[in-house]
Amino acid sequence: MTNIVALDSQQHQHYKLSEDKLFSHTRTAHILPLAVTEFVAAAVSLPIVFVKDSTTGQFRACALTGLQPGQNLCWQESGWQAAYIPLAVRNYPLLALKPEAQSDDYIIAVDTGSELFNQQSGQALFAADKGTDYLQQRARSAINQAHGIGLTQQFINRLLALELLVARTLTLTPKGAEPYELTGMYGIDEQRLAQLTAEQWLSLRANNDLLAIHAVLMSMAQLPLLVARLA
Amino acid sequence: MQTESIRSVLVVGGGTAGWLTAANLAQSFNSAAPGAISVTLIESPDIPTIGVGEGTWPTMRATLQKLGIKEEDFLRSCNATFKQGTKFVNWQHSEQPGSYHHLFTSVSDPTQFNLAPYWLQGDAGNDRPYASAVSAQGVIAELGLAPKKITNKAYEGVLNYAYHLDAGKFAELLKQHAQQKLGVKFISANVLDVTLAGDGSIAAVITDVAGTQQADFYVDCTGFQSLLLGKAMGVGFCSVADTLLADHAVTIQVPHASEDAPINACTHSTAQAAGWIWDIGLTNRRGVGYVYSSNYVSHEEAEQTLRRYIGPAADSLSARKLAMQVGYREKFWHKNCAAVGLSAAFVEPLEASAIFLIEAAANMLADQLPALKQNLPLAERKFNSSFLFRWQKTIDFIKLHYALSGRTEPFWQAARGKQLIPASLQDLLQSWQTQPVSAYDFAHVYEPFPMESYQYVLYGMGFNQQLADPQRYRQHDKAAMYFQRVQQLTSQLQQQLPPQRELLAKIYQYGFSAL
Repeated sequence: MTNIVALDSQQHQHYKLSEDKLFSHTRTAHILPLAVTEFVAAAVSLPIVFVKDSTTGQFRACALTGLQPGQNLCWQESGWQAAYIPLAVRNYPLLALKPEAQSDDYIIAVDTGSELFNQQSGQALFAADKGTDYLQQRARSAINQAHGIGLTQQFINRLLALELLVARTLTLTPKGAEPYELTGMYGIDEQRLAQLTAEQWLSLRANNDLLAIHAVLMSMAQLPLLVARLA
Repeated sequence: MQTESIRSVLVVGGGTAGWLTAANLAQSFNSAAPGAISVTLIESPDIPTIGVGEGTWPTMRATLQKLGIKEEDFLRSCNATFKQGTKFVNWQHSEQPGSYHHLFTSVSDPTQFNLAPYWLQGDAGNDRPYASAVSAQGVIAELGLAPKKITNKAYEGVLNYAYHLDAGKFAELLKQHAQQKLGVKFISANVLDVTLAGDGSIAAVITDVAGTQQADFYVDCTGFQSLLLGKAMGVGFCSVADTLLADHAVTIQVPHASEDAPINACTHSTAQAAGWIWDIGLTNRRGVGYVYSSNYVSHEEAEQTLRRYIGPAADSLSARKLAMQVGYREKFWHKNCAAVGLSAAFVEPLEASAIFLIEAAANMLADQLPALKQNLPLAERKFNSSFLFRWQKTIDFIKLHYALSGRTEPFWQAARGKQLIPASLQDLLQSWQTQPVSAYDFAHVYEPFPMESYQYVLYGMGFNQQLADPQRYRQHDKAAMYFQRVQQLTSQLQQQLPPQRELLAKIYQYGFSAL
């Protein structure tokens, strides 16, 4: 069970973080959150899609790793298989959260449901009531990711304002089974992109969105490779 | 004179009818653009709106979308909730409690594949009510669940839905939107007089503080008064008081006991000794009212019945009484004037026809108002025949609810008296005793109530239909597949759909996505 709790130097003073180079916690994840700052690096090995968050209805950017819920084709017993490892995967079980939407500061939280967070093995998080250097370094990475997610929301809002997102349905026909449709994914509307006015196009350039948009479009070439991993 | 074009429309009267019509016309004519047909609305600062209509049909989603109003803005500003049909309580018998649903979603469109003959033959199981055999929506509505999820886009539902809304707040939203976005001009003034030209058409509207107002075309939204079409032009009123007996309503607004009190997901309509009580859930309050016939119950007794229905919560609340003129104008459009809303017609709000027929009239007006005055007579003929049909069919459908009741009180016995049932409805009822309801019974494109509505009411009321030739209906496997699909959907949707309030809170926070 996922259980997100703010890290506390008193309550968690004896806790340690161990690392899992296999990233086994992703074994059943068919989508993984991605920040816009990762798009270029991710696009060479994973399809980038947009999905609606089931509790808020808001769009998020994700790497697609499986073709049905519960399936991660980029993970095997020998570990993570794709060339790029999303930041969220590397930071797990830590994440950075804003205590309030307007806040500039982050708090560092941990999924206490993860075995990586324990009192037996790994690197110490606190020493003499203060965060260890190791924790400082992991926290920085988590804050980086959180900052990237904030930028991603702004990026998505600009895509929505220009009506650049479009629903994408993937029809899959597994061997010896009924065909099914993977729905609920959205991608960049290439036609609409070509129809933008010069002014709209320049607004994308001013926000440095063009690189991310093209990374998403090029990442679609990873879809057949993902399907091929089924075999 | 005869080749003059129509460049201006004056809507007289605000409220739901006035503002919805003005907004629709202005949107259709692109009135915000320079040089387009102008739409002006005069509203009295002194006359309160009636605002009885607080339930819509699913058509309202398309109407709001057309006007460019965001669904979350509408829901928030009108305390609106999702309506998934009507639950009729105790309509069948006086002594034996019972209820049925009239829903908006069916698993199979009955005009394509009619499940009713198979339900009658027991293919859905012997004790399953018709509504729960053909739709998952009744169970979802009973559980107070919403018809959609936060991940659905605006105006899109997992199940078909309409709204419950605060009519006063709705008129206010439309008033702002129509002026700010659609280019409707607004004049706040009282109408003192309406003058006629030599040919009997409207010449001008004379106001107290805004002088004399003239336009090429007038829309009468002055409520029961019917200042233009009725009073000034003298178009008569056809009462249907001998068909629909209820002539009054007494209403009470009941605040919710707490901010998280559950909200009914459908209108509740509960039969009483001399009429029926509506119960509509908004986010902040319920709107409850007793529609009754003053020939069968005194006004005091009617109010007491309503207070008993509400319970102790009603003790500190005031009630409001309304007289209802039930019927329609001989014409809805005469020369250069059309009436929309109460000035055109009114029937008891049993099937939420009021707002729905305002939308329909505004749509037809927006499409049919001719560019040239010489084409007015033809448009008038088309509009009048269309709305005479729609109102008569609406009256038939309301009457159907009474005609099928087995309640024993004098009001109910009188209400189903055969001489009071329109011949058009009697013919249909006669044929439905031995053959299923058919798409060909509803051949008109602008039939106000669809075939499936009649089926929900007929079978819900326990209408005794004995198919004369059941051999004709032998696609039992296909029917069984549909009935099974309803059961699957019913259990799936119970897991997936959130409670009304939970979804509304999320919508207030996040809004719906446009895609």
